[in-house]
Amino acid sequence: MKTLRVGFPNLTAVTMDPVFAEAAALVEGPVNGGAEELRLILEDVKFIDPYGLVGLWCVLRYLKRRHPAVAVIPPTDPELQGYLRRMNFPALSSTAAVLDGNIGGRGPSGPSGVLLELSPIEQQADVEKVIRNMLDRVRRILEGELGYGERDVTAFCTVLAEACTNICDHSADRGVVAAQRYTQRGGTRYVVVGVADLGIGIRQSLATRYRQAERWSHIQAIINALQKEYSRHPERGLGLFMVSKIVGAYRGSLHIRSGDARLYLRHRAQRLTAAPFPGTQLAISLSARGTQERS
Amino acid sequence: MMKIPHITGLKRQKPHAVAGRTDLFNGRREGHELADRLLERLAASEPDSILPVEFGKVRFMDFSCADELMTRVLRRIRSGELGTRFILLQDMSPSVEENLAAVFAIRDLVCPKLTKRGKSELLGKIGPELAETYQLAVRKGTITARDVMAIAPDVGISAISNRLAKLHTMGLLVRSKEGVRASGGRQFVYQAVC
Repeated sequence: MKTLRVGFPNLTAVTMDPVFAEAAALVEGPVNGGAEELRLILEDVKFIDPYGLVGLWCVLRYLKRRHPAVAVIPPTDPELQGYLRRMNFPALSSTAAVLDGNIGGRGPSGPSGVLLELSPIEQQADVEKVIRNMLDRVRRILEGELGYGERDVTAFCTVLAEACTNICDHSADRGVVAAQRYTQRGGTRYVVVGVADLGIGIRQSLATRYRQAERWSHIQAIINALQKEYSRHPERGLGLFMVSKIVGAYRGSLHIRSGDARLYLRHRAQRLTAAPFPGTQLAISLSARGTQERS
Repeated sequence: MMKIPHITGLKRQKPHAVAGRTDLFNGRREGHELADRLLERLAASEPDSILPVEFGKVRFMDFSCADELMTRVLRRIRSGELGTRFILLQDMSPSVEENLAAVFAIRDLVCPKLTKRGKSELLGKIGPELAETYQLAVRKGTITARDVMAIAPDVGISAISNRLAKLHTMGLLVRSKEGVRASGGRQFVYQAVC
């Protein structure tokens, strides 16, 4: 039996990358004597943000491609167990892996403190469901806790809609989305949205329109996807551009991972290397109205 | 003495409601379907007419859907393919108007809208001189280049003609029958799309 032990206490956009790298090595490495069972060990993890959550979902699906049985050993931290339960992680990961251990309770019950539980995105109807959830259930939290007015709620829903619709339109796969609100130690409030798929990635998606995209590096493809007018279809391609504009307006950040590259946008763009891993994964953060800028 | 031509006012059609299965609209595919329906309705309407487009049944429309809907329709209008058929936006919630305005800003489009108080305004940005000229046309009903000169005496006739032509190209003014001046020269008469 093989194991992948996650050694980081926090799973976020920064620390997920080594996890992606190990998963890729397990899937793409040589097969010795047939496919083995595999355990993903999360015992040492204390905190997972929405990007970490959607990233884990991708990792489990990817591991399943090579390993017939994948088991998840859950975190020992009871608070994190509760969070995973509230975020619907056991249900959404059950198609790829078995949860080998108890995370307490019987799943999400009633309204939770999270903004959006881990939700599947496969077709436009799923995107509509997410938006309706935001408008019906979460609006009060956004308005009350984050000080969002109607325009701000629209902006938040637009970010979600655009990021999720990209899965349906461009990934050739299905994906997931999750969102959580946080309060930092100085009282700064913000939301983090994680969106991910295991699809064809940004470069290949752009290559269906721009043949030269096949020769682009993954980082160049990500940068071009954020420009106006770069997309699979003529005269389109404003989804990620709009997301980046809204993120800028809300003093937030945008982290995009595709292929072997990552781009981090906060005031300016930072190009980062990444472990090659399929699909596209996004982390979007937006600040509350009237809060100090996050450090 | 200048012969004043008979101007046929733009007829207001029965409104077209933007509607679908639900009150939430997202994605380009949905925007494409909405555009198809609106263009079909526009093509079937009489010439010299305005079709009010109502958004009262739209609770949320994401940017991609709004982009697909409005960019296709407004570009067809501006191209002249639909002749003298125009649209006017009305009954938009602040949320819907926000994303439509974002589309117009990025695509460099503008469209008349009716406010809740029944006032005619523009959604989308145009320069102050163009805005001033359009509002003059809204106030007076019909204008000529000479009418604009009266409010902008320091601007030459050629520049004013360009303003009017620009607004006409943008689908904000209808150029109606030519008037004939005492000097015998041709003169266009413009009417606001509102």
